[in-house]
Parts: sequence; structure tokens; C-alpha cells
Amino acid sequence: MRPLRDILDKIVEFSRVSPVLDEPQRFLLLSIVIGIFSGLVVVCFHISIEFLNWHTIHSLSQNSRYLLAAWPALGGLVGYAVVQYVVPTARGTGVNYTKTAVYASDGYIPFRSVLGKFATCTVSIGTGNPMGPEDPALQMGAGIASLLGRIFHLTRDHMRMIAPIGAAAGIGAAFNTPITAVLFVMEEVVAAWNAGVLGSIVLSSVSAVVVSRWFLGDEPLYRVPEFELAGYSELLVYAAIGVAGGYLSALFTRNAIRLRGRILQIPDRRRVWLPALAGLAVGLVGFVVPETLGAGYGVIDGALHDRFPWDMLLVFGVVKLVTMALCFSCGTPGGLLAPSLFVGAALGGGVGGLAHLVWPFATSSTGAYVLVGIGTFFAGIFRAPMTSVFMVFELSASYEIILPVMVANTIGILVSRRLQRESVFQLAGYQDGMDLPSVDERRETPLMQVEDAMRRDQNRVVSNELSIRRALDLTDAIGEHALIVEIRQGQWGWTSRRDLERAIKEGRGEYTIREGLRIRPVTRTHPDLPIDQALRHLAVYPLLPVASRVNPSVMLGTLTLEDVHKSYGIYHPDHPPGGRRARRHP
Amino acid sequence: MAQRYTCRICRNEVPHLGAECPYCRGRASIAEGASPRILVTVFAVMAVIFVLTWYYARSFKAEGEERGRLYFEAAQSEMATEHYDEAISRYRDALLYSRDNPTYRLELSRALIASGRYTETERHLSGLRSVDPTSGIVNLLLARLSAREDRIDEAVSYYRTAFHGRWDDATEDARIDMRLELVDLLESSGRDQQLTAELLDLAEIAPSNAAIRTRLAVLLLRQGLYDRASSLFRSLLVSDPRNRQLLLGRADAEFELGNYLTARTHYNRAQLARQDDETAERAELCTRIIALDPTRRGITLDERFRRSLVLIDRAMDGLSSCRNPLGHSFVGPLPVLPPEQVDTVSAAESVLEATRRRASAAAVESNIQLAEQIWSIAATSCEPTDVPDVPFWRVMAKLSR
Repeated sequence: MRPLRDILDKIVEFSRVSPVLDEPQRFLLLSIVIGIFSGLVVVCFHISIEFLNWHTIHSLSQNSRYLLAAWPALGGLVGYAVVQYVVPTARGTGVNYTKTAVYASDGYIPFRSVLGKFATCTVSIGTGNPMGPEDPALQMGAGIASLLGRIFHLTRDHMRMIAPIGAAAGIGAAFNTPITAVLFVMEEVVAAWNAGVLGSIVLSSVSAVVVSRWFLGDEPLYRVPEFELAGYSELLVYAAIGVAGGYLSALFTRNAIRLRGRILQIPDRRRVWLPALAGLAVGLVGFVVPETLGAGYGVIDGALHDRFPWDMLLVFGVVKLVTMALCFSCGTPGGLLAPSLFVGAALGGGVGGLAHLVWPFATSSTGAYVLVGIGTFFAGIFRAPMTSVFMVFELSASYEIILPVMVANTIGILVSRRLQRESVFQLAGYQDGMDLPSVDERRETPLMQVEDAMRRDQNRVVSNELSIRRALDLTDAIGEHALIVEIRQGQWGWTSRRDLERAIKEGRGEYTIREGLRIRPVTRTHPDLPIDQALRHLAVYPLLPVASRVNPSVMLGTLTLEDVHKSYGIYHPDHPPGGRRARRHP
Repeated sequence: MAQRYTCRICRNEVPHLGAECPYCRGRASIAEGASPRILVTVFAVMAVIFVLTWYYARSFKAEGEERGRLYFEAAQSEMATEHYDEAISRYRDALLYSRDNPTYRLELSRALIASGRYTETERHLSGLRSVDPTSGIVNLLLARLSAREDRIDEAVSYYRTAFHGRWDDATEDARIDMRLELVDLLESSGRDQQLTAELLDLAEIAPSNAAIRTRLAVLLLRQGLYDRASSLFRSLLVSDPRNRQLLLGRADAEFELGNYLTARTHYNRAQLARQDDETAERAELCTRIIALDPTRRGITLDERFRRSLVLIDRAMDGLSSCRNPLGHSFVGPLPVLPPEQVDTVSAAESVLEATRRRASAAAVESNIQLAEQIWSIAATSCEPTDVPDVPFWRVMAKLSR
């Protein structure tokens, strides 16, 4: 062991002295390691669920079929009890948990929550509860990333970024769609389009998907048949699917959250039995409609292949919607992603099948409507428009699907948002005592830019040929403490009132600025830059010239700290609100 | 008492596990923070998990395949007893465990076809085709489904891919059977050009199976490719000279080619196999055509001349019994015929009315030409007659060729 340790010591020492990879590159490499670990764990998670499912719901023994109603109840009870009494950190939705890690606990996710999610969700989903493995996989990935981040002693900034990287790996491996995983994490977990973390998220997602495919095969979750748009008039049918999806998602969110709120008021000791009751209901329904048991990938696959008539699909959708809402509200471990896809698929197929009967123009196969429907309910519940579109695109690999999917999903989100402002994760977060940021919230709070605060006149600008005395008079006239001095076309400096006064005191009042003063250099800013960046310069300079992007020698205006204050509605004592009105950002 | 955490680098107290240390500011880089022991441990753990996952996945696949096989066998039994719904259910169960097994999906497709669920079948087959576009059986089934729904172009494309595609156990005859299916489809959908091309292509392949060759010969005959049909029938008759169907086929082909003597011979041989009024009539027709043909070998010049006059006479009969599109008879003042046609008719009348006739090769030739001209006037100007003079028309058609 000693020689091996010496060799490793030398390697590490060499990397310190002459680093082959810089810090960001090492971080990217760590992203791959996270992706591989997450992929391996999610593969095991998937297999465990399937194994349990085979031995319970799909048991080869005929006697076990009589236990069909009991399995989901047992799974719900055991899963919830373990969460309640053994690993409370495995409670709640994975998205919110990971978001909390990003925004509140510096990327810290205890590893026991990974183990807890693995065990409880395996038991719950494997015994037929109508929940999905994607959300738990997301949390498991984030937990693994957090653990690795701690092992490698990452800085706080890196630790905050590490959880979404693991989350993308987890969901990518579970759903077998790397692009969708990246977009979902950006929209739902990071809640912003952060270019700094995007590369790492992509790397971890791709490496996790590679690992997943290595073990589980290249088969996508659904075999999507070839799709074609029968005619542009058919877009109206897709719009109808969007309306229905949006309405149903709002209905689900409102009622499931309301029910969850009431259930959370029940004492813990009694609440532990509720997942069992929900599971019993699921099992009893499963006797009649066994298609609604479990995550339901096979049923979506069947619907895509026109296996079910439209009326049956509508029944599936309604049953799944109810059982999913029941289990989610009762706290049955598992995610909402797979069941929401199921409901969307059933809804799309149902509406599409109805269109076959009543629509006078050309219509596509029911499978095409199922495919489009998959995204609408999902988009309405999670408010992730990009993810919903690219998910269907990635599943189908068809360019033709884009237009109907965009129409349906956009309408779905608009209808859903109109009826229910917040997403299901946000509302669940509020119930759990968290106020986490969302993409919507960030989108509605636009960043202030320099152009929103700058003064567009040239009153603060003087030529360096102006006499020092006149320059001082000018500062008195406009009430400023500093001026921009134009040295030559496109080159500016600055001088302060104190410099001007000192020069006059020293008898240089009639000198020009060029002759009598040492003009200090100033950096320029641009109208499109965020105020944050300008403020960093204003910490060094009292005012900044705002130059055109197209022609940097042209000054468009000037910016001072006071201008910034005014733009935010903060008034300087010398300029109370009764005077010149500061410009407010809408 | 609350748990206390310490920085792993400087060992000072930190607010919680993973928080940035307020003393050393957690500035250690990844490599600096990771000791060799940690790196080795992480990669060792990764290797261990990898091996465990591999073993777990292998067990999972093995059990899945075993369960799939059991359901597949049950499904095959149900198919054998024509319990299609049960078979479909079992195939679906099998696919639940082995989703990427193409055999299970193909058999499910067959069961779905058997139970009449064509739309779903097509989805499955399209999926199989996207994985293996050259699969012969998948393309064949898709072709049949497309043909069933009158998507002829698609069906033709699938048939062609099936014929040239990959088959594990298909014999040459099975491939030709597929082409004959395509031929039937083209024939029923009235795509004559494609049908002709397909038949000629098939004839080039020269299948060895006699039944297929017979069917091909019949199709060639039906499609008007008499020469090829005759040749195929002839080759078939070598091995089976008393086959009535082959004899009739050859006779029909030769009849259409204008070889009435050969046709009559084969009609008569067919009659020997089994008497049939229709065949007898065809043989009789051949006899009448042969008796009218002035170009037949072995007859004397006088006889040839006589037949040429008969042809003119029959042509004039045809013209006189025909009515022009306006409903007026040509015979008489012939008001609607152009002058050069009136001259031709007059010349024919002169030939028929002549009292002194001398048989010569030139006269025979001239008469035949005259008969052809009048026949062509009748053919272009008259409405078709209800009772055509078949022997005369056949002879004239032959002469015009």
C-alpha cells in the first residue's frame, strides 16, 4: 500500500504545482462522476421497483392475485411509516427538497434521505401505488451529488450548484431522456436559466443516461409510433386537448393541495394510516381497472399503439387522476411525473378519439393525440413549458410533433395558470413551510438595466478645453459633485468638485481642465448592462459615461449612484420626491 | 444538545455540515480538498457499485426473460387453439417482461391481425420496422395491412421491401408468393403499368415451382403479355403435356398472338382431356379464321385470291351494316364520307362486280390492301356492331399487324 500511496501523493502534488485542469474543469469532471454514481443508483432503484412489482402485482402465482388490493395498501403503509419514523428527511417532493438545498442549505442533502427515498419509494411504487420514480430519482441524484461535494470539500458556491447537477443525473437516468432532464432541472429546480451551471448539468445528465442505457438497454420508456399531422385544421383538436389538460391540471392542483392541507392537520399518529387507506382504494380500483396501478408506462405505451378505445382511455385518466391525488395528498412516497404523463396521455387519447367521431376534417391516429396529451397535463401541473415540449419531442424524435405540442402545451399552461396561479410544487412547498423561488416568479421580476436609470442629457459632460472656473460654476449650477471630461472623441475621464476647488485655490482657475488638472480615468458602461454591474463600477467612480454598443465613441448619457437610487424609488435627501420625479421601473 | 460540526480542512466550528467555513472560507479546491485516500475510496466505491449493479441487472434481465418466455409459451398455446384474445393478453404479459423482444411483438401483431385489431397491429409493426427496416415478415404484414386499407402505394413499397428484405426461413417460392400477392393487389387496383412491370420482372426470375409458374403464366396471359405467357405455358407443357389448364392457356395465348393453327391444336388437345362447349367453340372459331386467312401457308394462289375477295366482300358487308354516328346509313349516296374514302368504296365495288377475275400475287396483295382500307374506314367511322364478324376481324387484325 505504501508505494501506491506515494504515487498518489506525487500525482496530487503534481496537480497542485502544475495543474493540468483548472477549477472549472475539475468541477466538470466531478459532474461526470456524479452522473455515473446517480445512474448506477437509479438503475438499482428501477430494478428494485420492477422486481417488487413482478412479485406483487404481476405475480405468476394465481393466489397472489387475490392480494391485489392489499399490496398498494401495505406498500403505502410501510413506505409512509419508514418516512415518518426512520427517515423524515425523505418526506415531501424531491423537487422541493432539492430546491431547498440550493436556496436554503448551501447544497446540503443528508445521504440518509437518499437511502430513505430509495427504500420507501421502491416499496410504495413497486406495490402498485400510482406514483412515479422520477421525482425520487431526482432527489437521490441530488443527495449523491451533495455527498460527493462534501467528500471533495467544495466551496459554498460549488456546493449550491452541485444539487441540481445530481438532480439532472437522477431524473435523466430515470426517464432516459437527457435533454428533458436538463430542462426540467433548469425550470423546476434552479428556477432560472443559469449558464454557469448548464454545462455541468448536461454532463451529469448525459453520463447518467449512458450508465442507465448500459444496464437497462436503449429502449425508450415508450415506443412512439410514427406521427403525422393530418391537416392544419386538426390543430383545433390539439388546442382542445390543451384546454382540457390545462383545466384538469388546475383542478388537480387545487383539490390535491386542498386535501393535502387538511390531511397535514391530522395528528401524525393517525396520519400514518392514511397512505394505507389510499393504497386500499387504489387496490380495489385496480381490481376493475388494473391499468391504473403503478407508474403506468405500459399503459401509455399501449395507448400510443391504439390499444385502447377512447372511452376507456378517459376512464383510465379519471381514475388515475383521483388515485394520484389521493396518494399524493396522503403522503404516499413517490413522484407525480409519471402519473401526470399517464393522465395527460389518457386525456389526449380520449379527446382525440372523440374528435374521430365528431370532427368533420381529417384526424390523426389516437396515438398522435396520446403523444400530444402527454405534455399538456404535465405542463399544466408543473408549469414547465420548455420541458413539456422537449420531452415529447425527445420521446417521439419527430419534428412534425413540435407544432401540435407547442399549441396544446401553451394553451394548457395558460388555462391552468388562469385557474390556478401557482404550480403544485410551489403550493406543496408553502404547506411545508417553504417559500421557494419559481421560474414564473423570476420571470415576473425583470432585472433593472443601466438604460432604466441613466440620464440621457450631456449636462454632466464638459470638454477638457473648458476653464476650471467655469467647470466649477457648472457643478454648482447642476448640483453635482463630479463631471465627465471629454479628453478626445470617445475618450473620457472624470474630475471632482474638490479637485476643481483645489485648482482654483492654487491659482489655476483660468487654466483649461487639460492644462490645470490631472484627469482621472473612468470606465464606461452600456445601456443594456444590468444595474448590478454598473453598481460595481460606481463603487470606484462617482459617475459613469454610458456609451453606445454600436459606436462606443458616442456617449448616450451618464449614470450616478443617485440616478440608480431614483430608478428604484429611493430618494436622496437633497432631492425629495416633491421635486423632479424619479423614473420608476414598471 | 445540538450537534456540532467542524470544518474538515481547518477543524474550526461551522454552522452545519457542508456549510462554508467562516475561518478558512472553504477556499480549498476540489483536488486540494480531496486526499489520495478519498479519491481512491470514491473510485473503489464506484467500481463496487458498478459490479453490484451489473449483477443485479443481469439477474433482473434473466428473470424478466424467463417470465417473458413462460407467458410467450402460454400465448403460443392459446394461438394454436385460436383463442386470440387470451393469446393477445399473454403476449402482452410477455412483452411486459421483455419489452425489446421483437419475436414477442411480432407474434402479438399476428394475434392482433387474427382478432381483427388492425390499427394497433400497424402501430406495433411500425415500431418493429423502425428497429429493423429490412425485416421481410414485418414489411409483408405491413403491406397486407396497407392493402387492406387501400393504401396501395404504401403497400407496394412494403411488398417490395419484404421481397428484398431479410428472412430467416423464407424459401424462394415464399418470396415469389409475396410478389404474386403484390401482383394480385396491382391487378385488383387497376395499376396496369406497375402490374406489367412486376409480371415481367417475375418472369425473368423463372421460378422453379410448377404451380407458381402456372399462376404466373395465367397472370401474364390475363395482362396481355401473350408472348411470355405462351412461352411459359410451352415450357410447363413439356413436363405435363396433358394438363388441360396449361393446354387452354397455351391455346389462348397463341390465339391472341394470331397463331390460330397452334391455338386450334391445343384447344383440340384440351378437348381430349375433357369435353367443353366453350373450348369447342374456340376451336371452331380458329377453324373459321384459318379458313378465311389468305396469307396462310400451303394454300394455292387461286384459293388465296378467292379468300382476298371474300375479305373485300365481308369488309363491304361490315360497312353497309354499320351506321355512322349521325344515325344515317353510309350505303347509297354516302353523304358523310370524304371523297378519297368514297373512291376506295367504289374501287371495292368494282372489284367485286368484275366478271373477269385473274388470280395473281399482285391482285391478292391489292385485294388485301383494299379490304384493309375498307375495314379501317368501318373501324374509324362506324359504331361497333352488336354481332361482330369475329373471324373476319381477327384475320384483318392479323393482316394489319
